[in-house]
Amino acid sequence: MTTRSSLPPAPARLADANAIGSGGGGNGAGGGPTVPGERHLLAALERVARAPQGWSVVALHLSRLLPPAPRPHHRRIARAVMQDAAQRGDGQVFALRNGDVLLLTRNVAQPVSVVSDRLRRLFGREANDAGGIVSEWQLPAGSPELLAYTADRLREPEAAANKEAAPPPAEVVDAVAIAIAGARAQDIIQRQVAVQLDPHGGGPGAAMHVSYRELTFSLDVLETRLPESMRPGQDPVLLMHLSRYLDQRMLQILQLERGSSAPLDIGVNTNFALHLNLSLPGVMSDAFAILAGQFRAIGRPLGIEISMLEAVADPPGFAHARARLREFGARLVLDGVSHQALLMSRPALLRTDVMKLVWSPRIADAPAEEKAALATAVLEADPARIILHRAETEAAVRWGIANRIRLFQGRYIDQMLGVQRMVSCLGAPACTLQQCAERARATGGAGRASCTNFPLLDAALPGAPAGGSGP
Amino acid sequence: MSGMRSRPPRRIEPDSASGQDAHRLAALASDCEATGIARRCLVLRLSLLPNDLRKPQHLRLARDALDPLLSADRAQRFILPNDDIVMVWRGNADGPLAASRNAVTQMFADTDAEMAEVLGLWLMLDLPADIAALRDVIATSLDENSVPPTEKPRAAPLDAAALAVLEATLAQADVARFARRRVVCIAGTDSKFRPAWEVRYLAADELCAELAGGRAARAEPWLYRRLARTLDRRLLALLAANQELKDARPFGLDLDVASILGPDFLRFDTALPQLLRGRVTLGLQPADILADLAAFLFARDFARARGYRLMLCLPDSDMLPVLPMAKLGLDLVEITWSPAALMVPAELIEREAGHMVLAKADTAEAIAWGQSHGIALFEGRAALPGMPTFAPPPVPAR
Repeated sequence: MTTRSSLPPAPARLADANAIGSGGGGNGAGGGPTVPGERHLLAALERVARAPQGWSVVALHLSRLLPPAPRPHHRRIARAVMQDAAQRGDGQVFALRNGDVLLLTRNVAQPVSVVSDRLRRLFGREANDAGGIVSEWQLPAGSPELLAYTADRLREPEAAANKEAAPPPAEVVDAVAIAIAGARAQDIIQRQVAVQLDPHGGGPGAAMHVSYRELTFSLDVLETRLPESMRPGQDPVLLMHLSRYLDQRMLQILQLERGSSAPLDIGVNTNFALHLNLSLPGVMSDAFAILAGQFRAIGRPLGIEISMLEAVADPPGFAHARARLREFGARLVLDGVSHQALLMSRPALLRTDVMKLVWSPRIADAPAEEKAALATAVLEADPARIILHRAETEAAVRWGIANRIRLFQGRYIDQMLGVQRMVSCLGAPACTLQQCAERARATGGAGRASCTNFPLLDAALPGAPAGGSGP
Repeated sequence: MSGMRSRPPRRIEPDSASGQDAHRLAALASDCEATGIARRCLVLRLSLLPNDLRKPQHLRLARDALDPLLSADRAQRFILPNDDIVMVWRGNADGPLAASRNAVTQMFADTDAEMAEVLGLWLMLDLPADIAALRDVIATSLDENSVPPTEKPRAAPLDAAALAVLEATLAQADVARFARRRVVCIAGTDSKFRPAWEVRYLAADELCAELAGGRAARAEPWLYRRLARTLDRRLLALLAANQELKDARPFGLDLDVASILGPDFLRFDTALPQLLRGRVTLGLQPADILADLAAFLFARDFARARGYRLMLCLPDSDMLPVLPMAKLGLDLVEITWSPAALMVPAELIEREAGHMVLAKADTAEAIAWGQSHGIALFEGRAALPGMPTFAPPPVPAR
């Protein structure tokens, strides 16, 4: 029912009140003047009020799903499932302005609880409380509560339009490639330090060693330079393809910066490893062979991060890349392992040196059963070979430590390192912690210009000799 | 063999290298499908023979061996680019058929070829019922041998700019002519393969050849994934069109996760006849699954609630332990045959064999390996409807 033509129309006597009819997941905004779904619902309730026996209403509270849900496909499927039930039960579906979808039905073929259960099963995974995403009202007894709920919705401001963005056109690849080629290296490349927490330490704030520093392209910065319709972030497939261009540019920049003593000079801070993200063709390129040889020559450990997507999409290509990295003595990192991926697959069997498990606040909020399964999966994968990535909060680091993970990368670590720098920096009174952390991430230009203590900013960890857990 | 000829052979000089016969046969198949006129069809799969049995003299003898069938009603002979010979006729031709079969058997009597292999060359089809199998034969012959590999010019890759143009073209183009089917067969108790379902797809390579100036569709794997998503939408729209699925048999589609959650799938789902519900298999790529696991889980549960079977299509059997079907909550797993499969520990295969499809099963070796590991579902040139299966060898002592 994403369009009127896709499914048979609602029963004729109710069709005029059908709030559903927009394409692509809009909220009743089919092109003409929009009448809120709440009004249609009230009108329909008024009509059935003459003989309310047997009627009931099921509400699917999409608004209660955890972000980034509800996504356009949630709305689309919700309407399809409910429209399906509507057709069996002389019913009608309403999309409210906050995203909730309601079914008014007089279902003789199946009790509405069947519909409710189906919805809970399908959508419950996206909510903290699967039970709370569906409400049921039997008429006429439930009418007062239903009317109160509907009135509340009408009083609320309309939820921000969450329209389905069309995927970026394929030309975006060329646009980004041109933007990358034209941008100054220090404007588009960021760096971040990962640390190893001392295994004998007790928690956050325990002794830290620098493990490596990673260089990444900042797509956010790139995207601000492109028109909105030309931003690749919406299409993971285009992003994977783009990584080939990013590889070439990164390898080129590192050659250009050699000997500059600037942050992107691989010969600076050689006491800890440098990590780069490469695609499979990037690893197999001549430019990479040259760079890997240079790392060897200066005795600096090199880590190469390859996305798990690439590893499973092209297993033979991944095996070749792995063999080549071993040959060059580089550490292979499996990048982008989500906690769901760790639960549903065995990434450790891809035989990389370490893997980057991406922290998500959903881990902290997960049901006990899922938490236990995740703990088991971490143990099976070997916590010593896991880097907890995007560790943005103390909760992330605490969870990691509790699960015997010792390697961390993320903004919370940036802050911890910033605190340590500021404690020993004479210029610290002029800066905030936020500024210090941001300048440490920058690789040059305005991003770090205001810092008066570059040696401390670049050393990654003040005072302590770098631990370096190279290959 | 010559004593069996009922009349002097009519020499046909086919232009097989250019694939003209293949295209003529494809046209006949379409005609047969459209009119429903029953024809019988024999495919002599010489492409399955080892090279030392595929010398010109063998091919000549094989053509001669099928000469008796030229006496059948409206008989036509087609020589495909990979040396397969196809005979099509109408009505009963049991006598000439037996004579031809006898001649083919005798042809290999003095060679090392095993009888099972010889029988495996002989594929009988009834048109229009077995049209999918015939199309598979044609497609395979064109895929592999239309141009000798050494002379194949390296096509320019489908790059982002060409893909953008192609996507715009596809929005308008009639893609029905690129619709293809390949058959997944199950090993029957009568030691013959019978169709389990047919996979419906759009031929991306042919489509690029025609609509994207001969660009190589798969040269850039991630752009190909993007193209595949566009083709998903077109295929779903094609299948949802009026009457398209009216008499359809069980079938399968390889779809992106996003495609299952898209509006075209909902339209397709509405058009799906009730009889087919529970008999449609959706194949998923691991990279699509991992690219958005939350969307995958939702799509999986939605598709299952609507009665679809879900299959994980692994590009490499090495991935079996990395992506266990059961952990992902899927119903079937497809692995692709390659000699490397021999290196995969048997227990890994056997654990999931009951839910496994062996794709690219083009040789007797693949079938024998698969059946010996307990696999019953096959897709490939050596597993077409009516072809003999291979009895599993005795279970080796552990």
